[in-house]
Amino acid sequence: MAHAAIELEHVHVTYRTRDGLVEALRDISLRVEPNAFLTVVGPSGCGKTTLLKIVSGVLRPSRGRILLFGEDLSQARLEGKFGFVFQRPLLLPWRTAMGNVALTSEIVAKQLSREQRLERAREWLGLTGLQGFEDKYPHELSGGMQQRVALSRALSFHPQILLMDEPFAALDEITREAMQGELLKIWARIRSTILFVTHSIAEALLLSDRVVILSHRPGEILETLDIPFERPRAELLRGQKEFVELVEHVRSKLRGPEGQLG
Amino acid sequence: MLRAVAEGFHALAQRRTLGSLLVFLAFFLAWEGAVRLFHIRDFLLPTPSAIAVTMYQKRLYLLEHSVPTLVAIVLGFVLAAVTGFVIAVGVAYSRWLNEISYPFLVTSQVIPKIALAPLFLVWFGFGITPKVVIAALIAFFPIVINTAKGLTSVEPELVQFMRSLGATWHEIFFKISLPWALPYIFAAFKISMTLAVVGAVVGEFVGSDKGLGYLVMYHHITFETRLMFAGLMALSIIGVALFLLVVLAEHYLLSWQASIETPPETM
Repeated sequence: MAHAAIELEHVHVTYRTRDGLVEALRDISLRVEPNAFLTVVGPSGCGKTTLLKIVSGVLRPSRGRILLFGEDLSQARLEGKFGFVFQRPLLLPWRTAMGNVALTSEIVAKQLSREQRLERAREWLGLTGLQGFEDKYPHELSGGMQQRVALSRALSFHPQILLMDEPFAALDEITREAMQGELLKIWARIRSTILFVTHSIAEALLLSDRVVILSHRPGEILETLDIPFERPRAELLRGQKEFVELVEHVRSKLRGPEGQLG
Repeated sequence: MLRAVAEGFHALAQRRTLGSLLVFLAFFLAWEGAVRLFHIRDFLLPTPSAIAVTMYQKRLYLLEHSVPTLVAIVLGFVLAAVTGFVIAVGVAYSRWLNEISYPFLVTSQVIPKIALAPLFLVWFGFGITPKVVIAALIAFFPIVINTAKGLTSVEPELVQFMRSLGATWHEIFFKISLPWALPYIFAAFKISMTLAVVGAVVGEFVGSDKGLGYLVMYHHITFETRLMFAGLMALSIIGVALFLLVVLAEHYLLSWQASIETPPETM
């Protein structure tokens, strides 16, 4: 069997805080196949961000094992393997859109000349629909555009794995839906592995191949769903009966037997 | 470079609107008028016009004493900027350094540095050194505090991302942290430049035979109020010019910030 891009085996995470020990994640096991799109959905404080930190090696799990393409995380070379997109764009305000995108290749692709890096940045900005905005500074761009720059920055060095931490949560609904469509289009072209985290059920179902439902603290996997809808997926999907039913199913799962949302 | 400086002047000119200039002018007119109207005696408060005439007549004398003061201010500021920056980097990146240096930093601010001036005279002698040291000592604190604050305000997620790319400490510092802190640093530079002027003059009060501080003290003793004012004016001109120089440098280096509404808070 081919190796999964990301594999978590019985991962537990316990934090030590001022109030004592906090169990963030409990017995998480999941597989993300290469070039697949997996989304973790759950309420705020379910440890979604912790999960991303574990996968990217920022945090060590208290127990359990993480494999990246079959290699133990602690032994793997992680440099340049991950692209990150956060909830906030976190752009450098003194760099233009193009300069911000070029930042990552300045670290990862030092063999390229400055011109080549900027050329590459320009291409990525074009791919994310920002043609003509290359020389704009972040404060001259809208929230959605800033997030497009952040996406271009994360993709421009061809990371094997893209980690996305609620990237569209801070956007207004219309922009968010447009961005979701863009992301699917881009992903269809680049086909890298995406681990996406969100608290929006519809977003998870619309984007992913597979959805992992995480419970409120401690984060535990409630269910793993394979999403049946054919690609390319259109906006129309949102209105379809199967989609609406699946949203309702996930919602009831998250609500739990006690009828509470975390 | 020249264009940026020109743009800087332009921006300054726009900000210093005609209105505030008129108010400034009106202040001197009121002063002139009041002195004449109430027949205030010259040794108490000379008119601005009389001061201007004195400044012109004694221009070489004033220039001769401006140079050592200017040198002391600039050297004091540079010393403060360099040591302040180095300490700030240490404080920002080392918790241990942060903890041990904090009491020293605060104490160094609580002690009235003016009271240290006679001591520095004993230590460093009767030259430029005590002036520079006092100027630096007064000026370095805002630089430490602000630079450290700027460096530690960098988004941790961004730093994580850079680390995950394999960026070295050096790369993160120069590509992210330092430019991130630059607005904070310049906010401190502006305060520190004015403080350096105070420091240099205090040094000249205590023990010096040249400089504008000395000149003001000397003519205080000889009861020549006009010359005291002439010295003060020269000091103000130097202080304002140096401040504007910092503002121009800021404008040149942080041109991206010009159109953003909210600059970072100071101190």
